[in-house]
Amino acid sequence: MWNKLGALAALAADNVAAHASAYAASCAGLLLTLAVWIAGLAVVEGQAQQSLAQARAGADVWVGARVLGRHAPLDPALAQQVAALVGVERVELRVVGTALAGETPILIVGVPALSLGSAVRLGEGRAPAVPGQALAGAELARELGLSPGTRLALDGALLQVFEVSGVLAPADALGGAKALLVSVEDAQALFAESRASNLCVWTRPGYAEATARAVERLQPGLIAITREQTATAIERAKSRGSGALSGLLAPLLAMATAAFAAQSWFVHSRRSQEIALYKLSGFSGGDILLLTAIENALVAVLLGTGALLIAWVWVRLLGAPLLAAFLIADLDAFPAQAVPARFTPLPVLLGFALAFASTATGSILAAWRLSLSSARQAFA
Amino acid sequence: MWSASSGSRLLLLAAGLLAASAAVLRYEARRSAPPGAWTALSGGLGLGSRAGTAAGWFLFDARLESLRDSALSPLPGVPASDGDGLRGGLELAPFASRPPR
Repeated sequence: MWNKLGALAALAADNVAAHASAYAASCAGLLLTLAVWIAGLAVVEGQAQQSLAQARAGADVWVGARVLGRHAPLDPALAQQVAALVGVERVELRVVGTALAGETPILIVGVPALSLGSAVRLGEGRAPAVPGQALAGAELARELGLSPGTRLALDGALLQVFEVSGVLAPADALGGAKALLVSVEDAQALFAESRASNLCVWTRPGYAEATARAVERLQPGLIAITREQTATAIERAKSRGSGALSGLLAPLLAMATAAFAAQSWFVHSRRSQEIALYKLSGFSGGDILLLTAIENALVAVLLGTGALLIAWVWVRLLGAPLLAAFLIADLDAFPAQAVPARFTPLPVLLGFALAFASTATGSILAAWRLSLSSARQAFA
Repeated sequence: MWSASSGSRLLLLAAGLLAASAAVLRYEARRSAPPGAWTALSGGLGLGSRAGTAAGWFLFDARLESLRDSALSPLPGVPASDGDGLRGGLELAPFASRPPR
C-alpha cells in the first residue's frame, strides 16, 4: 500500500515537473489571488489586534455626547461630576477636531500635556515642552514635509502657528499616523472652544459598566462606551473587513479555477495519451484518479506556501504597498506608516484547501473521463 | 530506487517551501502575544457569530456607513471624527495606550 502510494507520489511529482510551464501559466492567477487574500486577511487581523491592544491599554470608559443624532462637545464641568462618581479613579479630557493647513484638512487631537510625552513612540525629535508645540504622525509628516522645527499655520476657529517638536515613529499605532497631537489647552485655543470631545474615564476594577450607566444618567444625550463594548465593535469591524475582502476576491478565485480548467483543456490530448499509457501499464481507474489527486495536492502545496511567502514579503518586508491603502483609510499607496499585520495558520490552511479544490475541479473530472475512454482513442 | 529527477527536485522545492512557511508562521506566532487556540486558528477569517451573514449585509452596511460619514463630515472628503461615538474613541486610544497610572 505505502510502496504504491510512494510510487504514485514520485510519478505525480515527475508529471508536475514535466508540465511545469503549463501548470505555472494556469496557476499564476490563483497564486496571486491567494497571496492578496492572505496578505489582506493578515492586515485586517493585525489592525484589529492593534486596536484591541489599544482598547485594553486605554481608558475603561469613553464618554461622548450625541445631540440631534450628531456628536456634540462636552462641558468640562462634566468631568468633575464624573470624577465624583463612585469607582472612578481618573478622568481626562480629549479634544478632536479638524483644522486646515493651507487647504489640507488635518486631524487635530488634543490630549493632556503629560500624555504627549509618555504615551507615544517618537521617530525623531522630542516631546512638546512648551505650549504651541505639536507631534506629527508619520504619514502626516511625510505628506506635508514636516520635521522637528517646522512651523505650521493651522486654521481652526482662529489661525495659530504650531511648531513641530517631534514626529511619531512609523511603528506607532495607526490612529495617530495622520494626526497632529497637541495639548488639550492648545487644541481648545485653536478651536476657540472650552469644551471637550470626549472624556476618558479610568475606574477601579469591576466598576466600568456601573460607571458607564451612571454617566449616561447624568445628562440626556451622553453616551458611555466600556472597553468591552469597544472590543466587541472592533471584532465586528474585523469580521466585516475580512468578509468584504473574501467576498471581493471570491469571483477572482472562481475565475482562476475556470482558467485552470481551460488550460487543462489545451493539454488534453497529451494528457489523454499519458493516461492511456498508464492504463496499458496496468493502472486502474482509481489509480489514475489517485495520481491526479496527488498531483493536485502537490500543486496546492506549492501554491499555498508560495502565496504565504509572497504575502509575507509583501506585507512585512515591503510594507504592503498598493494593498494597505485599500484596507486602511487615509494611508497612501506606499505608506510610511508601518502596517500592522498578523499571519495566522487558518487562512494559510484554507489557502491550501482552496488551491487543491481549484486545481482538482479543473482536472479530476477530465482525468476520470479519460480513464474511462479506450487507449486506442487516445492515440488515434 | 528513485533517482534524482526533475520530479525529485520539485518535491525538494515543495519541502523547502513548506519549511519556510512553517518558519514564517512560527515567527509570527512568537511576535504576538499568545492568544487562545481558537483565536489563533480563526484569526482574520471573520468566523465570529456574524460571519455567516457577512456576505449579505457587509456591502450595504459599508455603504451606509460611508454615507453617514460624508453627511456628518465638516469638510468634503474628511470622515467625521465622531461617527457612532466609537470612532473618536479608537482614534484617541493610541494616545492613552501607555497612560501614567
